[in-house]
Amino acid sequence: MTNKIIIAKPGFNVLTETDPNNLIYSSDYDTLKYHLADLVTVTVDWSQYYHSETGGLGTFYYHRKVQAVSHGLSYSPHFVGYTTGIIAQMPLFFGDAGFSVSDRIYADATNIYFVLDRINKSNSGTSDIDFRYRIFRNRLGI
Amino acid sequence: MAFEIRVAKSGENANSTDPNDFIFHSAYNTFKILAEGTLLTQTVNANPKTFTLAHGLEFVPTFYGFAKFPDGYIAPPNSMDFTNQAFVSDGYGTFSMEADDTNLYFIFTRPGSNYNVDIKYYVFEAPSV
Repeated sequence: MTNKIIIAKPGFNVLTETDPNNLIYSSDYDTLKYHLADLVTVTVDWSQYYHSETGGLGTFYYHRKVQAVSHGLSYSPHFVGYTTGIIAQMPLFFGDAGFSVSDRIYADATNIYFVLDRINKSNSGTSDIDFRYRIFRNRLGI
Repeated sequence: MAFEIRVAKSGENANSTDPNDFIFHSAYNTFKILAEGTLLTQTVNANPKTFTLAHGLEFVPTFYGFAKFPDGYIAPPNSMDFTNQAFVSDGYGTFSMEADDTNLYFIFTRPGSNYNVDIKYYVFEAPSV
């Protein structure tokens, strides 16, 4: 006989219930195991652009900033990132006639990567852009 | 009297009323993973290319996944590959996920040459719709 730990929701029989939606916990099912949550500030230097185009609306500058954050695990973990201000799950893409935003997140066995692409009219100064992220210990296996 | 099983985080009190103070609390459901797996070395040889996987459930489940592109970077759904510069190049392509009450669908674009991807998927307990 296989031993299990099962906690049923109120009103359900822990000995006979098989629908996982009616169980608070069952050792038959894995869960996401939490590793850490943190905030990273990405500083973008608007004087650093790799392309510019001038048209009827003026000159637009193309920026790209990549920031790596070590996740401290020896494998590629389950991860999720969020923008701040407007809190949205990454990736986030939006824009209008005056700017375009692409905020993306990636991982490998060493780091989480925040990749920011911007088209805007800025070619000087800096901005600090915050992102929140969560890492789970679950190994992706890819 | 109803009893509860509570495992508090280190430094927190098991009598806390904040669920964030607990490793486990029997008053709150755990988000159970019903199924997970990988699809390795899948060739994106069309534009778009959809890989289909039966999930075996009778409802549309909550799902999530990741794709590793040839550059070695792993992306969540609705992403383009890391190398892609978003506004000036198409890179390898894009990755998104969909589901219905039968299948999970992993959808990739291929603006250029064929490429291989590794896919990780999760199916969670709760119906998504």
